[in-house]
Amino acid sequence: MKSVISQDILSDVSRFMEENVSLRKEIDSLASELSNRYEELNLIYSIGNRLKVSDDLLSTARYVIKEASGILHGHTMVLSVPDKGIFEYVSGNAEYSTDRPLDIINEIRKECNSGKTHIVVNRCDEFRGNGFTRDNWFKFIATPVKLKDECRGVLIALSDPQEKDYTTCDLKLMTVLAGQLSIIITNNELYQNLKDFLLNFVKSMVSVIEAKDTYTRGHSERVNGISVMIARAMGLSQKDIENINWASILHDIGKIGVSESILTKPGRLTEEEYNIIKTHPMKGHEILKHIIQLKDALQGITYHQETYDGSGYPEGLKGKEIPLYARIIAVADTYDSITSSRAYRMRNTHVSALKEIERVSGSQLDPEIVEIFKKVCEDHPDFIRGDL
Amino acid sequence: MIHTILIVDDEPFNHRVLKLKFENAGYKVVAASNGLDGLNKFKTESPDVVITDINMPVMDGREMCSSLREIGCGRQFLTIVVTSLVDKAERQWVNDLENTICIEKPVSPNNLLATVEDYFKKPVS
Repeated sequence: MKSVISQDILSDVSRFMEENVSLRKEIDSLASELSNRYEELNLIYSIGNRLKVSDDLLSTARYVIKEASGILHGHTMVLSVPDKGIFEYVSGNAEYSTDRPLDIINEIRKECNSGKTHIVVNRCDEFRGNGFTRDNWFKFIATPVKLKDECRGVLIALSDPQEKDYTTCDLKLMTVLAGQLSIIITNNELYQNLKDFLLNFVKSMVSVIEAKDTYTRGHSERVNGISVMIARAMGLSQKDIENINWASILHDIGKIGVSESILTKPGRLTEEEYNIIKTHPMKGHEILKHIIQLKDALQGITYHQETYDGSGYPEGLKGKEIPLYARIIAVADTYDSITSSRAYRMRNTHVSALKEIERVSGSQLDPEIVEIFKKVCEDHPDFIRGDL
Repeated sequence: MIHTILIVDDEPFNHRVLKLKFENAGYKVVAASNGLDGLNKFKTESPDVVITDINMPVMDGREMCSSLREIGCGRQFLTIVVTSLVDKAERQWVNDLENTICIEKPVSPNNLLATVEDYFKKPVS
């Protein structure tokens, strides 16, 4: 009797111990599951935060891919949107990475283009069923990145055959991410389109004004190109570069208020005529001052004829009193004027333009910006015409 | 050398999640369920990192954090305060403490681990 009881107790104890072990395992797996959900939640929140940033498309794409690869059991993630120039790739140590990833992506894209909302492959026969013929098969989830209902790219997670199967949870996450990426890319595209349209429109209008004077044709656009290059070389902020972009393309807009006979007069100008020419920066200022989007750029237009020694116009500002945008445009403007033909003289070579710019560095032009301009020229940019 | 992490939180599931994450990454994890418990464990275990909630019974995270400095006697340790409090003023005290950072809930366990690994200046496993 006694031994029966102890046998019962023993089997009870062993059952409890078994239960205890399995409960512990269960708790651990619940904790790990919960941990994964936390990661997903954090990723989705932070993508939401990034929706408002429209300028830095690539870094957003990179971020999404990197974070997602951590959640979807750490294997290769690819985002490919060819016409937006996006190809982001985070790789694990999987075997297929010895294959050319581009081939794999092209195959998967072909499948996605056929209108599927997603492809999930967990088994070899599914892999073959999707039309893949390569020897080493792999698991993957692919979701199309759609812009205006048109498949423009794919988001893909890949892993080795011995890895865990992809689940409906993984698929949902991938679908949400592809959807969010679509929104981010669409936003960016709309914004870029609008920006390009506006800039091209303004360029057209500027060329209409320049058409009056065959000698200055294309001048504003060249000054624009050179100014932006200098600004980039100086490492200015995106905002500054944008302002310089606008100020430089519009710097001579005030010439619309100067009569054609003065602008295109061969030979020397009378003092009176020269005084009329000198009104063009202020006229430009008057024309554009109502456009609040150009508020910061305006100083580059108003003061582009100021000189470093204070002998310029309209206000005779000196040295660093002259706004930075205006000092940059002045260098680009000087260079393009020297290398362009005028009614009263032939155009000069790049070499003599550089010599002249060095000669007036510190008197007319800001010497620091002249140095940067010379560095820009060393890389042989396309604005250099003829001999170096 | 194995580093010790003290997790102070009254919610058992938060313990579970973080304990698993840090143990898998090779840390020793000690758990406490409120501020007072946290202080006692701090004395006996000498942790390198303290991760704590703010709202807890018996003793809250704020009171515990200020006492930790006294007990620590100049010993170096990182404190990570995890909060669900929206009011920024309620968190100002965290900024006033040395070697202390504040992370908002919901916390990404990966981020938390990365923060700790950064502190020990070793690459993420």
